[in-house]
Amino acid sequence: MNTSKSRLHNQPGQTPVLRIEDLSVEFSGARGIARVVDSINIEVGPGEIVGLIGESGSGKTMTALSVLGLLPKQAKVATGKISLGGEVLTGKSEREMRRIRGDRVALVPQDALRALNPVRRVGSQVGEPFELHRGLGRNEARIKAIASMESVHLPQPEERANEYPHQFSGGMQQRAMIAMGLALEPQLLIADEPTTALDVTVQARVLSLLREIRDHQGTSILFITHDLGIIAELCDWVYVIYAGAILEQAEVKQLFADPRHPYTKALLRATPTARTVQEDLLSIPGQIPSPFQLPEGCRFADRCEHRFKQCDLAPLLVETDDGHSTRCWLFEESNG
Amino acid sequence: MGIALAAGSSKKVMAESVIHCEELSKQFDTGNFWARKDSVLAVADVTLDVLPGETLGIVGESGSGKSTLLRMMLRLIRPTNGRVLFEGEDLRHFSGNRLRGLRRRMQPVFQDPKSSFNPRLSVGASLSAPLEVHNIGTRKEQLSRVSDVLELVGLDSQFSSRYPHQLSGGQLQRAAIARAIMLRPALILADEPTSALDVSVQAQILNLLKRTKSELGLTCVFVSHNLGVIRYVSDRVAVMYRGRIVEINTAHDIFTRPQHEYTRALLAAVPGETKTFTNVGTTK
Repeated sequence: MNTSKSRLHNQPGQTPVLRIEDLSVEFSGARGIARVVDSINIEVGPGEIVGLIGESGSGKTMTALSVLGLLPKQAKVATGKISLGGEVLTGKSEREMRRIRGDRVALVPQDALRALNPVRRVGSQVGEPFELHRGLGRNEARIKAIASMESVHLPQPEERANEYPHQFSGGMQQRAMIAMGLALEPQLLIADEPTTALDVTVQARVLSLLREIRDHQGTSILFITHDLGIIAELCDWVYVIYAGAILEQAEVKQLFADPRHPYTKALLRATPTARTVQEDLLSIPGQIPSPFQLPEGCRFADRCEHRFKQCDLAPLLVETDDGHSTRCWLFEESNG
Repeated sequence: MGIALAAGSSKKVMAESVIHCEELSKQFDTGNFWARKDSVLAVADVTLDVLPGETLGIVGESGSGKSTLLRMMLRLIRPTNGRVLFEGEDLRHFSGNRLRGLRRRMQPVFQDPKSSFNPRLSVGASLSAPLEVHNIGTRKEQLSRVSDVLELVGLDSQFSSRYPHQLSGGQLQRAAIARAIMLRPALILADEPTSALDVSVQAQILNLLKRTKSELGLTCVFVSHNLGVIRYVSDRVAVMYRGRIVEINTAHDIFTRPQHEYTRALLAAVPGETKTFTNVGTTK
């Protein structure tokens, strides 16, 4: 289902919808400075669904929050530049970001129930972007909201608009969040584990909704997840992030057909699947390094079965072919 | 391992199954202080057997009743109807000392190890607590059993003096498994033991469970919503939907020849499976 071939690496002339260049995010606290995102580069092309996969503590959510200008107070963008459709976002004031958020870029968070206001009717929340960004009156906004709710296949949108979030099922709450996110037809939708709290059958419907939105409206989506299955199901391009650094990036088909980084391979072999019998899952020993004590060399070295002397030095993200890049000495060597 | 933990051997070995659930139902009343109006049938008329040495996986979505069923097997909640037999004996007949004996024979592992450990006790103290409760061994023997079992689950004996907040989720879940096997139970009942963990850590815990199970000859009931996990750990699988078991069969048949429409829908909903994981088992 990878219809979009709009990969920027293949079409250098195109302006990406989202371009993250050399982004680093740092937390400062009593224990010192923790660099939770370290010099990452990400591009999302028009109409593209890009996956960012990582485990907890990998920095995937901080990356998303940097784009939205919603980093927590203790965190700051230490280096780098983020642009949306060519316009640089980093350095913008909170006021300017408010005009952009919800209009040109929107977030679908993991926990829809917590993101929705429990004491306001769903319809008025979904319609809020029209009031804030387009200056519509309440009634006009309501009509627009119902249309948005219909477009995400919420049943009986007119009646549902009058209900409160707790009257919705988990899947319907998430649809309402997507309706709100898409209300103003943003260029970019950032979805941060939007289906993690959902049952698998409900998740399947939400994923197909997101794909439909991309296909029909051309919305670009940055999809953040820890689930390789979702990457395979939904995304065109994927970035693998670990301890704040991108370890591998590739077209999705390519990543699964020919995973290169030992971490990616290990992750694949550690994931139990329903479709095949697995004699043994790979136990990846150890755990992700603390951002306060990042190793100087490769971040995965301590857990890697291929570790050798070179791994004490930090490898670079090297393109091996056709945009497929890997941050590992095994490939840097063979490449030259 | 240090102490001879003579398992409170059962007098009745007549029953073949370790756990036998018979027409088991659980009804919960909903509503609140002001209005008690409705009730939910969380588990409806479930009959099943857990056979010695097997891992029975129970899979279902939220609200399917899988955790409620497990809790009834653990005698943590009482069934509204039906009964649970453990090694041939009705769970309702256990009380006092015999109930304590029962607790030695079946042990739970829960989803969130952070909430199942006392934050004010060191890991070692939490692990030796079951030995103290059951009055097993001298203090010295207890300590050596703690470090033996910690080693068995892959934790250095220095973890004994640490506190739960100093451990990662994966380490703490290892400690939870260590605590569960401290008394050499016959049966482990695990409720989503890896759902809170990252994939790379989940595999460690699943393999640990599989290994300890075969080394200690345990029987296991494993509840999860994750079909991949269920397939990996289970010999047989029960699929639950709205309080009922809609299908129960060998893991192989459930996943290759699902009979019930719901099982098929569940399998079809797993993302990505058709596309990519075909070569995973064989990648170098």
